[in-house]
Amino acid sequence: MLEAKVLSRPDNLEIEIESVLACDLMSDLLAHPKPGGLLITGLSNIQMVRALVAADMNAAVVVRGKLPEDRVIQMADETGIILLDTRMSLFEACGQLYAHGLRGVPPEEHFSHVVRTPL
Amino acid sequence: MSSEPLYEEVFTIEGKDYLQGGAVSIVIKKILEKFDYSPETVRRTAIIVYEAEMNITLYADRGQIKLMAFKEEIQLLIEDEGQGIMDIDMALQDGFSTATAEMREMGFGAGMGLPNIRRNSNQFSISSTVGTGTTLSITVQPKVEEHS
Repeated sequence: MLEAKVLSRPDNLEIEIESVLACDLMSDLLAHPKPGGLLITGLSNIQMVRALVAADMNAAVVVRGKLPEDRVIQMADETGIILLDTRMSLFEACGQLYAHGLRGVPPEEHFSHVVRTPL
Repeated sequence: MSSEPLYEEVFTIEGKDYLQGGAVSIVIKKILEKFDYSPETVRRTAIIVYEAEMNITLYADRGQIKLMAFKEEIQLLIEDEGQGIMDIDMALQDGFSTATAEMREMGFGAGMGLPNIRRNSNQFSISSTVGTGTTLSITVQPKVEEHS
């Protein structure tokens, strides 16, 4: 549905995606981690793959036809992240996944575990 | 802490070493996964380390992350040498960033680094001296399960 090419870990393609997050800023990704989730992003660098690992996410679709460098694909292979690549825009890719029933997580469900401590 | 740490290690980060950005967080995540912490506790710690590591990489000359994993909690002591933070209150606000255009092109500069660290911590303290560096002291405690 995304006309995407699989760049890494084709052996992992049977996993279930629980929710989707779309963003282009690293700390927005880390502010809303989606364990088991999919990231849709225009970021294609190695730090993005590492951020996905920290956030326990499974996969990322890189949009706008940006092809990640070989070392980024290699990092994804090594860390078990499924990396996909599509020519679609961020908006179109989100729209396609939403139309096929995938959803994000409502903001109030984030950080329900966190104890806020005053400085 | 009355107990001895289960694991202790210091990791060094060089400023402006962008290619390594986030690498320490993955190493620490792998270490912590060997112990009995919940996936949520490990994830919170990995996110804290990633953000702290990127702050050192982006803004400092160099820094260290000391990991002390205890049975009951995980402690992190993060110290860097560099420009320091001029206004800590501003830096702690969501969306405030001093990132350059180059950093933003890499996807940094959301202004959520320190807020993300604080949100995932049970205890968090920060101190900084302009021209010298910044220190963060963090504790991550597993969520206490409610029993009905």
